[in-house]
Parts: sequence; C-alpha cells; structure tokens
Amino acid sequence: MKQRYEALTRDLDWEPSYVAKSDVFPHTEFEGIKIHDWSKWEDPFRLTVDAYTKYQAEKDKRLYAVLDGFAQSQGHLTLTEASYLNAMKLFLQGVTPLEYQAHRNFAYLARHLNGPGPRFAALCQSIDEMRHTQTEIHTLSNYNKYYGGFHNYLEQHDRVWYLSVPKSFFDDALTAGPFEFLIAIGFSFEYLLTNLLFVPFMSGASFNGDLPTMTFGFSAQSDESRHMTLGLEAIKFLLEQDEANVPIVQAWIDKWFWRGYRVTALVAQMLDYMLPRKVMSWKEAFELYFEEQMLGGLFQDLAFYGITPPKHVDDAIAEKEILSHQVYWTLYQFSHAAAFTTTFPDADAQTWLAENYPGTFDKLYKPLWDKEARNLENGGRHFVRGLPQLCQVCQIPMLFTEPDDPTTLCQRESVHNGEKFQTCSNGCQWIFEREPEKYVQAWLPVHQIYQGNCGGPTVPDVLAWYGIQEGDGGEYKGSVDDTNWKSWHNAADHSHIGSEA
Amino acid sequence: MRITAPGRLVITRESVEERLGREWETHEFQLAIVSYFGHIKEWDDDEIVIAWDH
Ligand SMILES: [Fe+2]
Ligand SMILES: [Fe+2]
Ligand SMILES: [Zn+2]
Repeated sequence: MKQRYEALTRDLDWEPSYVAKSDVFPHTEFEGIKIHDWSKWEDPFRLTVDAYTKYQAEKDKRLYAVLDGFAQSQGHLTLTEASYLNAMKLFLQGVTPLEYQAHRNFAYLARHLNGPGPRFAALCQSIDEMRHTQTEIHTLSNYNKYYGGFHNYLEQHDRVWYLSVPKSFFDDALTAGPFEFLIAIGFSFEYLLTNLLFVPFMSGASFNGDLPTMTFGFSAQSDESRHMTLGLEAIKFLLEQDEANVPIVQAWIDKWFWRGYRVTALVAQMLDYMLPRKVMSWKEAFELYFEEQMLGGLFQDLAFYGITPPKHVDDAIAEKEILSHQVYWTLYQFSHAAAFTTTFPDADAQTWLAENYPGTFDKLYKPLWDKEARNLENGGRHFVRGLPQLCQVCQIPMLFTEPDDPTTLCQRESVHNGEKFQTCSNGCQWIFEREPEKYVQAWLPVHQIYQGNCGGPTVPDVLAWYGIQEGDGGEYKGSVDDTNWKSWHNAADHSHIGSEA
Repeated sequence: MRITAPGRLVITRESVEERLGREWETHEFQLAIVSYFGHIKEWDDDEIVIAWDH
C-alpha cells in the first residue's frame, strides 16, 4: 500500500525547471504561513485513484439500491410524521449547497497546494463533496414529489434570510486564502464541528423512519473520516513547519470555531423542536461531540504545539441550555417567511424539553409557550410582521442573550469609518473588529429588503422573490403537508380494512 | 454501534478476517465507518491505528 501510494501519488510530481515554483503556486505565501518542507505532509489513508474509485462506486451502489426500494414502496408514508421533513428541508436548503461550494474550493486546493500529497487528498475530497451534493439532491428529490419546501432550494440558498447564515459562513471561507480555508473548513468545520453538525441529522433520520437520508448520511460520513483526517493533518503540518505559524493558526481557530458554532444554532433547534421522535437533546450532543471529544481529547493533543481552546468557547458552553429554545422561538414567529413550517410544541414535547433542560425550560421558555397557547385558543397563532435586525457577522437575527443573563438581549456595537455595525455576541464582535473591511460588505437579507433589492416592499413581494409558494412555510397544523399526510393515511387505513374484508 | 478505547485503538486485518471468515482489505473499513473521533495515525495493509500523537 505504501509503495503503491508513493508510486501513484508522490512520484507523479515533478520539479518545474523553466518556471519558478512561486509562479506555479502563487497563492501559498501571502497569508504569512511558512512551509519549509511539503514532503512532511502525512496522508495516513494512502489512497490511490484505483482504490478510491472502487470504494466510492460501492458506496453509491448501496445508496441507490436503498433509494429505489424506498421510492417503489412509497416509503415516505412510513415516516413518523410529515413535519419531520422540516429538518430535511433545512438540510437541503442550508447544507447541500455548501457541499457544492466545498467541492469547488477543494478543487482549487487540489491545484494550488505545493505538495503532491495534500493536492491528491484535496482532489479526493473535492470529488467526495460533489458526490455529497448529488446524492443529497437525489435522495431528497423523492420527497419533493409529495411535500412542500424542497422545490427551490438553490435559489433560496442565495436569497432567503435564514439561509444567509450558512451561505455567508461558507462564502467567508471561500474568500479566505488557501491555508485559512483549510483551518476554516478542513479543520474547524470538518473536524471540530462535523459530528455535532451531521450526526444529529442522520440520527434524526434514522429515528423518524427516513431510511434514504440515514443511508446518504452514513455514505457521506464514511468520506468524512478522510476529511477529518485531512483537516487534522493540515493543522499539525502547519504547526510543525514553523513556530511563526502558531499564532496565525490560533487566530483562525478562534475565528472559525465561533463562525461554525453559530451555524450549528440551526442544528440545535432542529434536534430539540423539529423532530417528532427525539434522538438526544442539543445539550447532550454538545457535551458529547464538543466538550468531551474536542475539548477533552483534541485540544489536549494540540496543547503540545501551544494551541489553546478557541477564544469564545466559554460563551458557547454557557448557552448550551438556552440556545435551541431561543432559536426555535424566533423561527416559530418568522416561519411565514420560510420554506419550512413550525408548530407549537405539544404537551409531550414540552415534557421532554423540561426533562432535558431542567434548569431553563420551565423557568424561561414554558411561560412563552403558555402565552402562545392562550393566543392559539383565541384563534391567534402569531407571526412577527416586522423584520429582525441581523448580526453583521453570523447574520442570525439578534436573538441571543448576554452570557451571564438569559433575560437580557445581547447587542454589541462597533464603529467603522463612522458607521455603526451590530453583532450578536462577543465572538461575532471580535471577528468583526478583526477584519471590519470584510464584514462591512456582508449581504444582509433584511438590509437588502429595505434597499429594495428583494422583489418589492411587501411580504408577498419578497416571498415571491424567494420562490416560496403556498404550502412551503407558515404553521404546520392545517398546512398542505399536514392535510395531505392525513388524507393519505386515512386512505391507506381504508384500503387496509377493505383488503381484509 | 460505538467503540471507544482510551488513548489507542488498533484494527488489524487478521482479526477482522478471522471474524468475517473472508479476505478483507483495510481500505474496506471506509465502507463501515460512519463517524470517528481521534487521530488516524497509521493505515496500511495490515492495520489501522487510531491514536493521539501527544
Ligand atoms: Fe460533504
Ligand atoms: Fe466533508
Ligand atoms: Zn453573530
């Protein structure tokens, strides 16, 4: 394996003789990272093209067999409930386009990194990410035949307010240099946060009867072991090459931990509120996949190089029992402008929330839902008709609270060139002030609406521009999905009785 | 199924082949793994080692 890898990967590289190396690889110096010996980059997988294609083909074959079986047997009717698919709408709209962007940028790294080892690893990852894009679209397209919210995810990713959260996160990484991208996506996203981001979606799928998503998830996650390794090798390589790289890498970890962590706010509410059958709470997932595995394992190892845990990690830990509640409460009130539905958490759901969040749910969030229950009794399910202020960095509505006080909204203000900019947290403010020239350019959906760039001045104008149709968003109960679901199941029950008679 | 080990986890081709009763390449492990945590230190024809460096 070792010799084959050497022969098929590293030995295919050559030294340029009539052009300068810096002309062939012009992008690997401007970030200030110093590399002395590219051959020191380890790729423990020792993957060669033939082995790569053989196993990837096998993975695809297995997945598509499951997809066919599910479609042919009307498998969508065996989900726990149609409302489960809200998690998948969010995934298709918010995550799948990121896979494609990852494909693009790893293709760039496959051309622009100086060493043949990391170039080949980046090439494999680039092809993997294309595969993820395709398999996710194929898997979820089956639901698009029967349910709302799946039909315009690409355009929505570029336009809709809550999707600017993942989109701007990835755009931030794409517009960084190659080494910062490696730390941003390869390390922070693919290693530090990957289990926290993907395992909840896949476990949610398996708990709610969504075999196709579970299968594409496992299929994609099996590539993720290579991606995690690339991210970890990248950081170790940079830290080992030159001591001067350490403070640069540390600042990137500080930035990208917080950027990525803010995106996982969407996962937090999905786990605690969107799944009809719950898997684990956000708090539990955060404790296992982040606190135990990353702080307790990874950062112990990185301490050897002088790397410390990310700068604002304590703020993240401090909000693990309030995050999902605050985010869902906001999405609940704005889902009339979303391509997914939300609904009131019923008695069982609230009992589960109280059990999993003994310190916060009953005290802080149940009173909000009690008030909403009275609204519902009086026929007044409420939506917020105004537009929220967005954080200049993470682009999430300013819904977070002060680190030490869950009853006071957190709002940080910075001035740049005489203009005021608002951020949602210490982490986002620190990121803004480190690179204000970058973040003042943010395409903030609410500002864009006010500037007249989003289809028109009224809510229906904007929703039409978003490509949101009747049945895509709003309240789940009584929605098109809910009504269809009930009628399909009633019809199924009748035919069952009929066939027995 | 979740497997954990303190500090170091080794998967050897021999022991997998013994249990499966057939030939097994270590690359095949990629088809079975859905998530991992740790550091893949070695991956060759005979074994996969997951262990921290420091
Ligand atoms: Fe991916
Ligand atoms: Fe990936
Ligand atoms: Zn923010």
